[in-house]
Amino acid sequence: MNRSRSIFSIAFLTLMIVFVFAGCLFTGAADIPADDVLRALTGGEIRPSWRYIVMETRLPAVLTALLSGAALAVAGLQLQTLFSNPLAGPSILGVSTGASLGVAVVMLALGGVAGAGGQLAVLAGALAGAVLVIAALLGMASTVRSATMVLIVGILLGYLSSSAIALLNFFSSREGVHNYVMWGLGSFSGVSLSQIPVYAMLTLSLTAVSLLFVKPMNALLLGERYAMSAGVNIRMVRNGLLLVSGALTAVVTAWCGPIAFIGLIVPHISRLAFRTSNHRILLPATILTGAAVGGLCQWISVSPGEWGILPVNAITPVIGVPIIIYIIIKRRSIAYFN
Amino acid sequence: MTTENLTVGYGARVVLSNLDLRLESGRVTVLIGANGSGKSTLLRTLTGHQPALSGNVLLDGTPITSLKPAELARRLSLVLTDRTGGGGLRVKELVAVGRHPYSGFMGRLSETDRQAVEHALEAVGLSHKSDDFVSSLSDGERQKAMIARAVAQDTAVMVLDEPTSFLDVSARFEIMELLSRIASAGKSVLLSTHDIASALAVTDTVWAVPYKGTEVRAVKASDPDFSSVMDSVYPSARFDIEISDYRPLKDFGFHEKNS
Repeated sequence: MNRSRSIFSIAFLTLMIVFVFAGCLFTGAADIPADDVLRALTGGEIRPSWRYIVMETRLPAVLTALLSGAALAVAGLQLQTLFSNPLAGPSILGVSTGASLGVAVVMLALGGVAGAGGQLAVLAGALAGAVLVIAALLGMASTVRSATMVLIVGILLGYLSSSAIALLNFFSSREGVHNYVMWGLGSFSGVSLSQIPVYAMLTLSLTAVSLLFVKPMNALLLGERYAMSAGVNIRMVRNGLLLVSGALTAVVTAWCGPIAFIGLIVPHISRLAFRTSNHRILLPATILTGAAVGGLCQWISVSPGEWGILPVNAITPVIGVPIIIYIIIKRRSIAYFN
Repeated sequence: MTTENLTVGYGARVVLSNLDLRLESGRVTVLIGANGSGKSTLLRTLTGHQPALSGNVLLDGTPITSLKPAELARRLSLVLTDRTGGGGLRVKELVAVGRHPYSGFMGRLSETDRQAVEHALEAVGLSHKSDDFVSSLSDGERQKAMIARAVAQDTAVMVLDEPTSFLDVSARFEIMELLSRIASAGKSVLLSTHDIASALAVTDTVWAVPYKGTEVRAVKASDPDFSSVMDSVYPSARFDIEISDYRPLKDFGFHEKNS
C-alpha cells in the first residue's frame, strides 16, 4: 500500500520535472516557435539569436533551477533533522542571509567580481557566511534546549547579517550596490551554460554526500541521546551535516542569490506525499521534489513571457507560505509532528 | 558492567563518588534516589554520555571510554523518559534503529536484522502494530516500542532512565514485567525509577542513593539492613516492607487501619 503510494509519487514528480523542464524551454520573453526550440536543442538550422536564447538563457536557467531546488531542499531536510525542528530551513535559520553577508563582503567591500577568481571569491564568501551561521546556531542549540528559541536565534542572526549587509551597501559604490541588489532578488539565470558543469558538479556531489547520512539522520529523529546509544558518532555526524547543508546553501546562494522557502517547504511536501520520515525514502524523495519545485518556480518566473521575468523570491513565498500555514494548522493530525 | 572507584558530577561539583558497583546479569536492578540525588547523572556516565570525573566504567573489563560509539552500542542499550520524535516512522522502522550498530553503511537490513526486529516486537507485544506510525501509539505502547528497539539492539546491558514515569499504572506493571522477562534471558537491566512498588514486584536488587548522600548502596530485599537503606532514600517517606512501597512519615488519618 505504502509502496504503491511511493511509486505513484515518484512517477508524478518525474513527470512534473519533465513538464516544467519543457515549459521553461518553450516559454520566455522571446516568442520562439516550438519546433525552432527543438531545432536549437538538437543543433538544427535556426536564427542565431534564437539559438542563443534557448541554449544560453533558457537551458542553463532551467538546469540551474532543478539543481538549486534539489540542493536547497536537501539542505532544508538536513537542518530540520539536525535541529529536530520542522520549521528549520536555510532561509529561516539565517543560513542564506549569512551566505549573503559573505557574498556582500566580497561584492561590496572587496570591490566587485571579475572573472573566475571573482566567482570563486563569492563562493568562498557564501560558504564562510553559511557555515558561520550554522556553527553559531549549533553552539546556541547546545545551551538553549528549546527548538523554538534556536529558531528565533536563527531569525535574529539573519537580521544581524541583514544589517551588516545594509551597512556595507551604505559605504559602497552605486554600481556595486546595484549588482548586489539584483543578485539579492534571487534568480536562476545567473549561471551561464559554460558554468553549468561546475554548478552541477558542486550541487550533485554535495547531494550525493548527503546520502551518506541517511542512517544517522534516522537515528537523530529519536533525539541526540538515542542516536548516540545507536552508535552514532554524534560530533562527526553533526559537523558533517553542518558542513554539507552549509555548503549546499552557499553554492546556491553564491550563484542565484538568497532563495527563500524552497529549503523549508520541500521536505514537508515530500513527507506528506510519501508519508514517511524514514530518510532512506525521504531524502531521495526530497531531491526529486526539490528539483520539481525549483523548476516550477523558474517556469512561473518566465511565464509573463514578453512582459519580463519575475524574481524567484517573489514566487517562492506565494507557494511556500500557504503550505507552511496548512502544516501548522494540521500538525496534530500529521504523523511526523507527533 | 562494573564501576571502578567511579566519581560522577559536573566540573567541580561531585554528585556521587567512589562507586564500586557491579551490575548482575540475569536480573533487573533498580536505582532509586530522590530528585536531584544524581540518578540521571550516574546513568549518563554509565552509558558514556557524560565523562566521569574520575574512575572507570567497565563493560566486560573494558573501559567504555576506549570503545568506539558503534562498539559501545553493541554492548549497551538505552531507554529514556522523554517522549521522542520519530512519529513519522513506522513502528518497525523505529525498532530497526536498534540494528544500526550491526547494519551496513546505508542501514540496509539483513535477514538477521529483520528477524531481530520481529522478535523484539513480539517480545514487547507490539507485533500487530509493526506497520503503524509511531505517532499513532499510546504513550505506553510508544515506550514499549523504544524498549523493543533496545531489545533488537541485542546488548548484554540495558539501561533505562525512568522509563515508566509518564505511564499509567497498568502500563507501568506491563513494562516492569517485560523488563524482568528481558533480564531472565541473561541480560543485565538497570533502571532508575520512583515507582518502587512496580519495580520491587519484579526484582529484589536495589541500588539506593541515600538522601543528600554521595554514595550508592547496593542491597537485596533479603538483606537485614534493607529497610534501613530504603528509609534513607527520601527525607519524608518511610519504607513499608509489607507493601514494598513508601508511605508518608506523617499519618494524615484518612484511612481506617485494618488490624
